[in-house]
Amino acid sequence: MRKTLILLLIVLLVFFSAAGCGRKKKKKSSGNQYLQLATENLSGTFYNNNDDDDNNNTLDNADTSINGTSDEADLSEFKIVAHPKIASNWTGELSLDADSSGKVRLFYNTGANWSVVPFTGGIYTLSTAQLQTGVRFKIEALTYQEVKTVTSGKWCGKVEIQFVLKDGAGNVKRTEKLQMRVSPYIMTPNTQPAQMVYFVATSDNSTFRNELKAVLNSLGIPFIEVNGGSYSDDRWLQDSHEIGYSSVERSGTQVTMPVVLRAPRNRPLINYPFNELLNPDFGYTVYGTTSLDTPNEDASMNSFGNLEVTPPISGYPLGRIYYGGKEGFRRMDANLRAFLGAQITQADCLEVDSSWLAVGHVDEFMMFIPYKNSFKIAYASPRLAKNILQSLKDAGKGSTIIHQGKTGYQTTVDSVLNDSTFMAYNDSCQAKLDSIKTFLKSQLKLSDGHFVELPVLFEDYGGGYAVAWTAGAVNMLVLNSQNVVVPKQFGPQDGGVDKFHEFINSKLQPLGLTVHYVDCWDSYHVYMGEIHCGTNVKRQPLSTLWWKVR
Amino acid sequence: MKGLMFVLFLFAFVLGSACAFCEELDDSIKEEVNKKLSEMQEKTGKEYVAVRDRLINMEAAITEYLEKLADEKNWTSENWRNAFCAATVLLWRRNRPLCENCYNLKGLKPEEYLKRRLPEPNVIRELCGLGKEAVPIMLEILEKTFSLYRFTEVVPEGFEGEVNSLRSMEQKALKLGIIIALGRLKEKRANYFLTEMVKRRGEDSDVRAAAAESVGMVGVEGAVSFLCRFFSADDEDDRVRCGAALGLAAIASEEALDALLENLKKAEEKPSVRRSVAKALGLLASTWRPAPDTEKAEAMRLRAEEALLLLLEKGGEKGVLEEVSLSLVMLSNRQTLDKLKNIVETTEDANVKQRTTDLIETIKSRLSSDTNK
Repeated sequence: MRKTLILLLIVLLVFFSAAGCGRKKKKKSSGNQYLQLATENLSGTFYNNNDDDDNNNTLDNADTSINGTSDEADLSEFKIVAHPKIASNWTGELSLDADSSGKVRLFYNTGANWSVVPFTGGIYTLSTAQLQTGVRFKIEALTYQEVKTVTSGKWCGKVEIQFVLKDGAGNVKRTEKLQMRVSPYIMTPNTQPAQMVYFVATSDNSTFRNELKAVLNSLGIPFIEVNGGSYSDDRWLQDSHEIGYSSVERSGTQVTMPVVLRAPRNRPLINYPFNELLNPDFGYTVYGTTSLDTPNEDASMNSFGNLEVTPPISGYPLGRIYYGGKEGFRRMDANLRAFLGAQITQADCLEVDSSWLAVGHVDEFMMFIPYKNSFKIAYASPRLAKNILQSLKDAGKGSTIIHQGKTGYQTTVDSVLNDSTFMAYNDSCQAKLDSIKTFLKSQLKLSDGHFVELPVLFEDYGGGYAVAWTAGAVNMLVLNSQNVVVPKQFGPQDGGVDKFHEFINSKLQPLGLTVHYVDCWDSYHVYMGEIHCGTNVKRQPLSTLWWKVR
Repeated sequence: MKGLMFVLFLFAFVLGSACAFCEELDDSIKEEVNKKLSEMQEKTGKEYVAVRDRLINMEAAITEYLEKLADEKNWTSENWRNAFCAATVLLWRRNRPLCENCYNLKGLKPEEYLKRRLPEPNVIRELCGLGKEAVPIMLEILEKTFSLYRFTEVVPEGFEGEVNSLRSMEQKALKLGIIIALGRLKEKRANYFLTEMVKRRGEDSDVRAAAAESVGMVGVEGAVSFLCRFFSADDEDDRVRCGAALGLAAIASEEALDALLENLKKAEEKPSVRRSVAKALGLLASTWRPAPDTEKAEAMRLRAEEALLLLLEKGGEKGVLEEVSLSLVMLSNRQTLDKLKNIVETTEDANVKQRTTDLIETIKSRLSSDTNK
């Protein structure tokens, strides 16, 4: 009996609590009698309408028309509620806040069609008839937010729409306001499963492609081979763009649109995102200044192997953007940093020191990998690589060959360990990595337990800059929570076992990950990149609703 | 248009080498190369053919040149061009994709590649791989510093200045590559050229700095005093002083450590030099750590650590503190932690306090990693 009463009490509490939420919501959205959000979009969210629904190679928000029903669905609606009994000489005035001017476009419904709202002096006057019948409006953004918080002269992504009701004598009878927000550009972390994998087919990477395709086919993950011939065999597909998404509310659920952010990187693949990814329901955007415009810019820092996002972490439910660079030294383009810093859900961005690397990308030494419902960080470790080699030496196997058959790289365990300059250099890289780890722990509120160290030895590229000498094990392709593709190591073989593979497996398999090794040595590693650098991924958007978290 | 010019510029170089190697290619590749050659001839005309012919003739002479140049007395200026061409063809043989795809390096277009590249690691690796065989050629190239070096006779009208400037940058990159390779080969025959390169005040300071570091790597007798001269010279270019400090680190002897510590005061005046000294102390002592004479190694480690702790306490420029911290991370052990805690307690410099606190955290994590493994 007592249990039944407690249960009843809980049910009642849940009921009233839910009803309370509903009331609260209703009150919030229906406070206005005239100017209201559409019921399907009570969050007031809208897109930067940067896809190409009519397939005319022009972004939909670049013209002043709605380009078909699919485009219409991309615009978010608000309305002036019908007031049939309103006095015959009363009118209304619709206006936007000053900072939003030029950043959004409004359409109004004319019955069969949609027309651009003709603001005059910043005001659109609604006739009595319109007030009597009510008017539907649609909104699209022409850009993403430029700043994170309200800043005069810059758009923070919020639009304040104002409606003023006036009587026949011009007296203000009522003022109502409505706020709507543009969806930020949201990056997808590695913890989200891959929906599509992309890589470039060059004249010399068939081994890599065949091995990767075999893995993807076995897992049923679709892929696209980009024709390298169209892009001068530029193979660094990770560097040319980032595929994220924007999302809006429709009837209480999240509707998403993938959006490609083109990197300000002046290489042949620079046109690939526009040429091939921009499509109906696949947006395209550009921020940052290419090195064509700023010849002194360090182009490599603007590549998107240098731009990643963490999985959801404390204080950042959609993850936190991070990129490589160092203030006062080598940095990503300032305009691009400003854009990323304005994407409220995943900013403040974290700048991680990658300036010590010749290429200078964060993916060369750290990679988030899924672990159950959380994550770990695969982290490069020269110390571990040295330990593995030292164990072989201690077992009397110092003559074991490493990098068998790889011209310019083949040597023995003894030779590596006896090269005191090389080992001291790697010790200095380890010190750097250890210091960065301390920084990451403090900034992302992580512990040592989050880091899964994998063996990587670096070499001095010249001038002290580092580049992976062994195949960069952390520079991997994460497919989903069960599968990762790691560069084939060509490490020292003992009893037919690659000791680097053995170690990597011992670290990743307990996390529930199947490790697929793919040979990217001749077509990527020798050019200072690995699998992650040579691939790109469209991932499943996050289910967390951005408009509810920040 | 400019980009295209420079692609052609590079292409001519590669194809020149390709042609020389034609005889050894299988038919399908030969056909491909010939097709490209025809295309190039159409675009570049007679001058290109002349370059190609020179390189073809070079192929026959490679062995002879190598044998000749292996002997020191044949390191004469008239052989330099042939030596360079031989080196090119050798590289082509060893690593054709490297020659073909040098512009495929990450993030750079061909013209950017030429402008910005540091010494090409694959070239260094290849040169090291060639070993002693390539040393005379490398030295010859260094000696002549490419004063007559040309890839093609064709300089597009209006681009003369830019092309020449790129050539000079390319020369610098190759020079750096060779200097580093000679250091890594610990090639004693190179010492004369390397020391001359350091002394040459008109030479690019990056080249001089790399040469100083390589002098240390080669490590012949007298290298410490030679490098010390440059490291301690107030009027010397900072980059050269830094290179000299790193050269001393590469020698990694007690004498080199003495030299670094004795001249520390002079180095303290300039942040960039101080940074290099801090780095050098870490590298030097780290190189010594696996030494068989552990007592001596520990004594050196302690001396280096003591100097670094003093630098840390003094504070100053952010970059210096960062380099000092990294070296301390390299050299640290459990006893280091107590010394650092003492600094945290006593320092009034907020930057030093924060840096030291982070350092303690890093070292703890590092020591725990070592224990776990």
